[in-house]
Parts: sequence; C-alpha cells; structure tokens
Amino acid sequence: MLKHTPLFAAHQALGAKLIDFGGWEMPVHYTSIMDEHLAVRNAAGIFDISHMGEVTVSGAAARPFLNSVLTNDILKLESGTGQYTLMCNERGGVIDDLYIFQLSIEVYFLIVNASRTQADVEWLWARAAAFAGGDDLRLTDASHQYAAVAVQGPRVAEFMDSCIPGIACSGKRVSRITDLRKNEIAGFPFGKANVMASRTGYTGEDGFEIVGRDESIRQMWDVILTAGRPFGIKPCGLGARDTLRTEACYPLYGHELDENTTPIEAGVGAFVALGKAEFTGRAVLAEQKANGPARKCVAFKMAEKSPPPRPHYPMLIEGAKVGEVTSGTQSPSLGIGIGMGYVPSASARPGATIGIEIRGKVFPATVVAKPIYRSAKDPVRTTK
Amino acid sequence: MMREQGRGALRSNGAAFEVQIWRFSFSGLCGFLWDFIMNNVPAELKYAKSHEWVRVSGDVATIGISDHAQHELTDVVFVELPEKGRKVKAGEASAVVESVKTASDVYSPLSGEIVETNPAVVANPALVNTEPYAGGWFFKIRFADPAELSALLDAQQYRAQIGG
Repeated sequence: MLKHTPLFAAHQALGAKLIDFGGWEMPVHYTSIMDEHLAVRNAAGIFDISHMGEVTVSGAAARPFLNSVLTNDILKLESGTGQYTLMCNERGGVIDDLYIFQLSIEVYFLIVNASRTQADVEWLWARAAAFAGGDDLRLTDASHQYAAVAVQGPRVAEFMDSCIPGIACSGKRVSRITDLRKNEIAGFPFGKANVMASRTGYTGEDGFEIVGRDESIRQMWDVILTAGRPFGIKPCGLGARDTLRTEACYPLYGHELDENTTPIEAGVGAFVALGKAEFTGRAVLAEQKANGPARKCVAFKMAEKSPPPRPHYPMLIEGAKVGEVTSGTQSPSLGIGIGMGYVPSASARPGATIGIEIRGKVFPATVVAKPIYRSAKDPVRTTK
Repeated sequence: MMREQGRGALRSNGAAFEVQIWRFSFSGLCGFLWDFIMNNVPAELKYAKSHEWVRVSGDVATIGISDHAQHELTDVVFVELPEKGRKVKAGEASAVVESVKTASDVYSPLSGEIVETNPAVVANPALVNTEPYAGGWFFKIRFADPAELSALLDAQQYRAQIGG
C-alpha cells in the first residue's frame, strides 16, 4: 500500500500522473515535465514535498551534538537561519544530505530525504547514545506531523506576501515573508495555525519551502495556486523537480550520494567545515580535501545530438569505462542531454571530453563547470 | 512499447490513470469530447497491444505509436530508428522513443524488412506528440506474413484496451 501525502486528493483533482516514489504515490507530472520545468524557470511552480522527513533535535546538548555529526558548522547559524549540510559515517560516506535550521539556540529543525528518514533517525539515535557532551537532548522524528510545499521560480516573490500576509511570529523576525533572505526561516500565522517558511529550494531558482500541519498545507496549496495564477504558476511534479535540480547540479541521495561516497568526491566540500571541532568522518574528509579525492562528480553536456543520458549508462574515457552516469536527462532549458557522474580526478576538469555509452554506441560529452544552468535571478550558488 | 530502460528514480506505472481521472471530473458531452481528444484512435488503422499503429498499403505497412502512447510519454525528445534493410520479427524491439523522463522500445507489430524510415521525426521528435498518425510515423516495413495482420487489434479493440 503506497503512502499518500495530505495533498493526494488535490493531485488527483488536477489529473496528475502518479508514480511510486520510494513508497509514496506522488505526482510525476500534471501536464508534462517540460511545461512544468519551464514554468519554474520563467515564472513559478508549486511542488508537494510532504514526503520529505522532518526531525527535531532540542535541548542544551543539541548544538554540540549536531555539530559532532554534521559536516557544516552550525555554530555559524543564528536563530532563524539554516544551512545545507551532510551527515557522514566514519569513512566519510554520506548517510544523508539535509537542511538544518536553528529555530532557537536549543531547538533545531532538520529536513531530510524521504528515503533516508529512518536511516537518519537510527544513526542519530546511535550517535546520541554515544555522545559524551551532555544528556539534555531530545530527538524526534516529526515526519508524520508535517506536510510541506515548495514554491519556486523568479516570480514567486511577487505574490507570496498575499498568500502569507502576517509578520513573523518566530525564527527570523521579518515583517513579511518576502523579507526573508536566502536560507532564513520564520514562523507565520496562517489561518488558525502557524506555518514555517524558509527561503530555500531545490531548483536553482528563488523560492520558499513551507512546512506545516496537514490542514494548513492543504489550504496553502490552494491559496498559492490561486494567488500565483496571474503570474503563471503551475503545479509541478517530481519529474520537473528532478530535471531542475539536475540542471542546477544539486546532488540527489541514491544518485550522486551514498554511504560509500564522500562530500568531497561529490563536489560539496564547501559544506564540510574542517575548521570546527571533531565530527564523524572528519579524518577521511580532511585527508581527501588535502590530497584530492581519486574521483570526482562532474557535470557534463552531450557534445552533439544524442539520446538523453540516463542513470547507469557507462561513462568512458579513451574507450575505457571509468564510471556510470548518476543523473541524466534531456535539459528542458538547454534542449540537449546533460548529466552528472564520477570520473577520475585527472579528467574532472571543465573542457575534458568523455564518452557516454548509450545502447552500445558511444556519444561524446564535455565536462562543464557546475551548475549546468544558472538562473539569472539566482546568481549565487547554493545547494538544496 | 512501454518497457522502460535505464533505472532513473522516476519510473512510470499506471497506464491510463490520467484519462480515468479526467473522465470522472467531466460529464456528458464534455466527457465525450475529452475522450475524443485524449484517445484519438483512427478507425482505419490496426494496433498492437504495445501501442504501435499499423497502416497497410499493399505489402508495405507504416508503423508509428498511438496518440494514447504519445500522451503517456509526454514530451518526446529523441527517436532512434532501425537501419533500412534490417529484417525484424513481429514483437522485436525495432526503434526507441525517448521522453524527458524515460526511454521506451518500439516493437515492430509485423515481421519483414524495413524499407523506409522517417528522417523528419528524427530531426523533430516532437512530431510524435503533435502528429502521431501523420508526420510522426517511425518506419515502413515490407511484411512477410499477411496472417500477422489479423492478430492485431482493430480500433474498437484498442480503444477498449486503453480504457477509452
């Protein structure tokens, strides 16, 4: 039996094509991936991301504990701000990549991958049991309590103040939601309840992610679709979410990231703070950062007309297989095949030629700088 | 035709779901029109269960994929056609059609020799979406066994299969 988000009925009413996504019955598209992708690049789109996991960690020991299991430095956070970070095992392999928000100095809110929620919580429990830095630590898998939507696109800021009209009641004390800056989060009254909104996303465009109780998010979905209609908003499925994040070169767990891959190899070393106190995986990550990893995740564009690259297609250098495509698709923004995958570090420089084997034929591709596509309105690179 | 290749995170299932939902939402004439738009199944063609259509002219048959199939695929971005002169068996994977989301094999509904392929659909794969029964054809085959034609579905049977 597939799990349904609180927005399932809304997806059905919109005629969504539904797929099994890690045990969740989710929309892959409503009209087409191309339409929805371009709506987000040119105007606005709304995504159901209720399947994602939410974990709360609180108590006097929360801050030192989290900083001992996450790669980025949460001491840099102030209340109402968040950061992209990773959680690694002792070998530096990625347990999950996630967003952490500091709601107050003793309360942290983690948004994790749906498929990894259970593994994350088990890992955190095990590390918490072994943590010597204090006992005042509460750790809760709150995934069942929350639904969430992402509203993304260059025109989103033009209508979000009308959707959530109040001033912030927690987190970053802004007087309106569009005053939130990148990676900031705040609570806002919405109907009879509060929702949390952050200026974050997974598309490479400006936008917000809004988390709340089921009923709030059901209402929010309708309010945003109505307010965004004059601006060209479209409901968007996981298909467009995947093509958008691939163009933006954001890694996806299970594709670019897994327990045998480090953040340094994956190209997200900027979110590994070696200057802070000891954290799980640090020794391996420090060694790789100093000496360079043996392989790196690169982005590539197909050099000529070819079938779209897909995950698991062989990647070749001078005829020899060096790895597999981890993410690949036709780029709706560029009209060519694009992808990511791991190659030996010597070949990981922009301009290098690689081959992608597609149904027995090798097609040339060029390694390019990340991101493959950069929004005119979002020139600063962020991840997730 | 809907066998998917690759192993992306996103895999489609549930064939005619979109059509079904809309049919519950519309009624009467509106529903009828919607069926017509969504499930365009020309009466003069034959169909394979795997969603290819067949137009017979003498001993040559033109092959494409149905409107229903293109609608399930959505945006077609690449078409790969067989070599002229290739001999294929009925049910053999003979072409590939790729949408943003997935790659799918196209099976030849008949045995025989490929005598012509459609360069226009290779240059402009979107023809599969916009003109599935005209400019979006895939290849022509000189078929070896006319008896295979009678194993194909007629329009009414195909319409029943896709829930139209």
